[in-house]
Amino acid sequence: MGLLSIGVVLVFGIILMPVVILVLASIFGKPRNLRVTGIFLGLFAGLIVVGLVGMWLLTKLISVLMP
Amino acid sequence: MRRARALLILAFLAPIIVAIAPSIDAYQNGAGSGMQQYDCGSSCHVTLGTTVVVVSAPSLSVDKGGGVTVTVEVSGGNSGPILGVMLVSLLEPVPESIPTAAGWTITADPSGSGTDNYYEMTSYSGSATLQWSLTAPQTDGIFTLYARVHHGGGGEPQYANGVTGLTFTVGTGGGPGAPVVEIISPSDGAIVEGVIDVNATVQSTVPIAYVTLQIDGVVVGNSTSEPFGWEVDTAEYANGEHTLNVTAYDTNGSFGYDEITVNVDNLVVSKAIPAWVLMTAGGIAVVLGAIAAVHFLRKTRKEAGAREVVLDPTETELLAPLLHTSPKGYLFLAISLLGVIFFFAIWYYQMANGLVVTGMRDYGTPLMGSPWGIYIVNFIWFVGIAHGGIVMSAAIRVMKLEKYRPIARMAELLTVVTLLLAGLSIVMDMGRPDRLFKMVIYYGDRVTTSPLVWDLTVIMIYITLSVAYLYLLMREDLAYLRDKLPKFRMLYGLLLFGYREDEKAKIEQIAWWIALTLLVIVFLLSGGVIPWLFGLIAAQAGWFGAIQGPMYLNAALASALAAVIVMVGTTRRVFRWEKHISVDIFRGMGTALSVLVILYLWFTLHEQLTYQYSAPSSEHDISDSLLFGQYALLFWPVVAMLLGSFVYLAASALAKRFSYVGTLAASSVVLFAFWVKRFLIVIPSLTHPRLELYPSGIYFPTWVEYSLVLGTVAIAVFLIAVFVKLFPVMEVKGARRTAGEGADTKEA
Amino acid sequence: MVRYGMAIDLSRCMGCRACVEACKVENNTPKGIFWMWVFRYEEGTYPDAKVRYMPRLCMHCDSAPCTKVCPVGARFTRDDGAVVTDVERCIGCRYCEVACPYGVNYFNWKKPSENQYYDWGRTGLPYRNPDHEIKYDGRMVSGGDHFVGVMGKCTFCVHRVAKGLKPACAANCPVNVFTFGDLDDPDSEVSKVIGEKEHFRLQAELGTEPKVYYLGAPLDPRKPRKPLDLVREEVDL
Repeated sequence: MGLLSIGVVLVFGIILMPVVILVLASIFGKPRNLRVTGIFLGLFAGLIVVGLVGMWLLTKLISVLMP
Repeated sequence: MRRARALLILAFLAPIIVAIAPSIDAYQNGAGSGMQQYDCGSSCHVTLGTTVVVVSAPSLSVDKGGGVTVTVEVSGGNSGPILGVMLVSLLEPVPESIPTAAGWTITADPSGSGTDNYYEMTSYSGSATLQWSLTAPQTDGIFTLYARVHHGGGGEPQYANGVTGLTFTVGTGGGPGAPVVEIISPSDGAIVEGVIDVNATVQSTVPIAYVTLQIDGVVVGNSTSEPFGWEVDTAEYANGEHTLNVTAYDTNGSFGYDEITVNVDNLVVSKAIPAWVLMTAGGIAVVLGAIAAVHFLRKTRKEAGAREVVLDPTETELLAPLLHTSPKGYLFLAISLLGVIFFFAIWYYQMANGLVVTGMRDYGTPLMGSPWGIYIVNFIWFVGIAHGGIVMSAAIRVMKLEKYRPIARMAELLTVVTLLLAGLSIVMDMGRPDRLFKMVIYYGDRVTTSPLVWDLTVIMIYITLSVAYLYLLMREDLAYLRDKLPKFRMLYGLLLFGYREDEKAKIEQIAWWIALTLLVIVFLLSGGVIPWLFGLIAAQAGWFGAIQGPMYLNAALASALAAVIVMVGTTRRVFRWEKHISVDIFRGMGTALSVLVILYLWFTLHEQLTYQYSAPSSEHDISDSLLFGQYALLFWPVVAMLLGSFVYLAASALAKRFSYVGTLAASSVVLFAFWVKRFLIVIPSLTHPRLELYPSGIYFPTWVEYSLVLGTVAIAVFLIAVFVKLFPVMEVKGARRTAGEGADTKEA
Repeated sequence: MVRYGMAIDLSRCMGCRACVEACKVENNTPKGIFWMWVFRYEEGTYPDAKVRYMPRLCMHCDSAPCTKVCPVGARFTRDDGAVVTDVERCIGCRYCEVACPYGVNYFNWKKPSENQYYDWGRTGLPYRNPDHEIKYDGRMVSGGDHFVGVMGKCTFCVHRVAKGLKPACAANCPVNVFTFGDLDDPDSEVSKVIGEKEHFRLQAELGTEPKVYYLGAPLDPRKPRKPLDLVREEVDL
């Protein structure tokens, strides 16, 4: 299978494609408003970070509770 | 004197080296054997002309106290049948030459019933092979064993020594061919602290089998390939001296080692504050802050109450949940909060005892269960419902069906909440939820092949975009209400980071693209990674196959519509939004739902027909169990529920006689039916293994499982209720726009 | 590189299950967990019925579906061909069990210390195997009683193979049913015996490329097979 395995093609080629297009549209689409674009992209990235941090916190909390 | 003795020995050796083929049965007649160092008497043996004595052993490396078998082959002509052979550790005939004096223990001699170093045979006929079993000395070192043949003649005992002895390496290794080990770090006698690297080099002509690291005699590491190094946390050992030993074993069984002493000296520090303390402290701070904030807000509200709240009648209706809460409302919040607490209490019980508290068990022998149960069913169900928001947003923005606009935000809220609960359903199914974050750590490595990881990816994208969508479109209303609702001034102010009046146009543009992306992701999620979780698994009959994709998508959209109808319908009634949410909306959704339901029944027919016609026996058995067997009690009611709902909804649509309560009821039935249908997807395949030698499995959920599933619903209800109480779920500015523009524009 | 596999001679197996016992003691597997199992079944219908035995352990597939689906890489294939589980990494999702067509995966539903056949109390198992305390090439892959909520299965006794010994099942069979060795070595016993005798692999049509070969004629699909021991084991809190 090598580098071009199913998962890589699927996730990074197909699934993330609409997201990439979305990001480009938010930056370049009319009407241009880089401020709002910044808020949106910041929010998008920030939410992903919050999600990951949340997963980490949940893991930590559970590992304390779990015998 | 020494030289003379050496010459004498040489004189004996020279004439007595001749080879004759060994014979096996010579050693079976023994007499006069015993522990002897050098002789048995002058007349007991005959003179040998020439003898060759050859000793051998399977391995010359042996553990301390290890077992060794020494074979002695004697050949040479003699003029009589009696011959004595002995094992000695020195060539000189002195008492110290008995092997036991050097530390050997003889466990068996050639007589078969004794443990002597000297064996005398009475029927020697030219050659003999004899064996001794010994255990090696208990000390490290080099030990040699020789064989000696004893023959008399004249008045002096005479011996023929085996020229070469067997040089055994006991313990330390380092003998010929054994691996040579050197510990290169840390150095001998070093003072160490914290985490150290122990590295060793191994030189060997023979391939190395494995290398062990021992600390104070206990094996703590085992490596089979270079580089031979281990990480050791010295904090696990008391301060003081410890022995590090690295031993390498080669494929011949020889071993060699290096041993050093290190001095562990760790600073005894007070333990870091455990995470739970920090989190409790944080939690308390949050609660105290919330109490202070509420107190402050009430004060502000009292002051604001003196001011006139400038809200027109429409707005007052739309903002009803934000403006006041009835006692029933508080009761509802309290009960759902109790449900949330109950969920966490039961989950803790499950984590403390293990998943044995559920009804799930391994499939096959001997547990005959199902490894996945209603937690996974719940997960799929929630993910399906989560599509509700997307369907609405896509309908409104991409297909321009403006009549659904009033319920857009509520549908989005449903999406966000149910996605969170889908995630929770998975985490509560895990055997080690305390290792959840490992899915993130090893993401890059596993995304190439694991459908669960693809799932995680798509769901993360979906939920972040949904939250972003919900939030961005709410900003306008929050800005408008910030001044009108002083109670929420601080909260809304906080969320309106970077707000400008002119942002609306750009937000609408971005929102359109998000809606489009989410529409595509619907296919990638419910028509993609979710069904692929099952459809790619050849091992499970009934799962494997391409129909899973379309079927799951269909079920998801149907569940989503049904859930939106139920949620919006209930909220509309509770907050009396009949004027603002037209009954027409339900009509449109009900019609769409009826189409999706009958389509799903059609797919089900496809599936069962395929399995019944002449499918492989594994698929046929599953279909039989669904249609006629143990799961028929669930299958046919599900079909009946879906069919009944379809008939009702389709009839309503066609006859144009529309009942709001009826549609709500039919949707609730559909929602429940799809939960049970997901059960019928997951469990029958797992309880009917492909391998015919396994009997069918049994699975009944336990009270713990039902509690956690109901708990997730309670959490959903609670989160939605809290949101409704804090934020405007009905568009305020949008309603004004629509009201200003007049009646609905398009029909669904 | 070595590629460990096994040949199981069905004409020799007498269903004594010494291998099952040996595996259990060697790997300290708790109740209801049988990394090694022997099917005792009846093949065919009266009057042409026969009782037959088939040992079943993990097939250590070359194209293992379990390693593909693991979301954290806890289930992986070692360089020597053995498919093992890193019990420190396993998150307990049970996807490997679901993806395996051979039913060789056993989950620790209960805490292993509470799930033994006898309550050994605080002292623990007296026959506890110290080889399971250590990691092999940095991964904790040996032994069946480490943690609750993780998966386990036959490891080809990696802790024994590391010392040049055969797996416990192979070493303990009284009638030499098992031949274990390097499939890539044409001179190894296992390669020779597979080359010489008629053999088949279980469910090979699923594309898993199992490395456990059964010596004997393939199972006749026309004959029905019924397991003879149908007692369901209960494991409860």
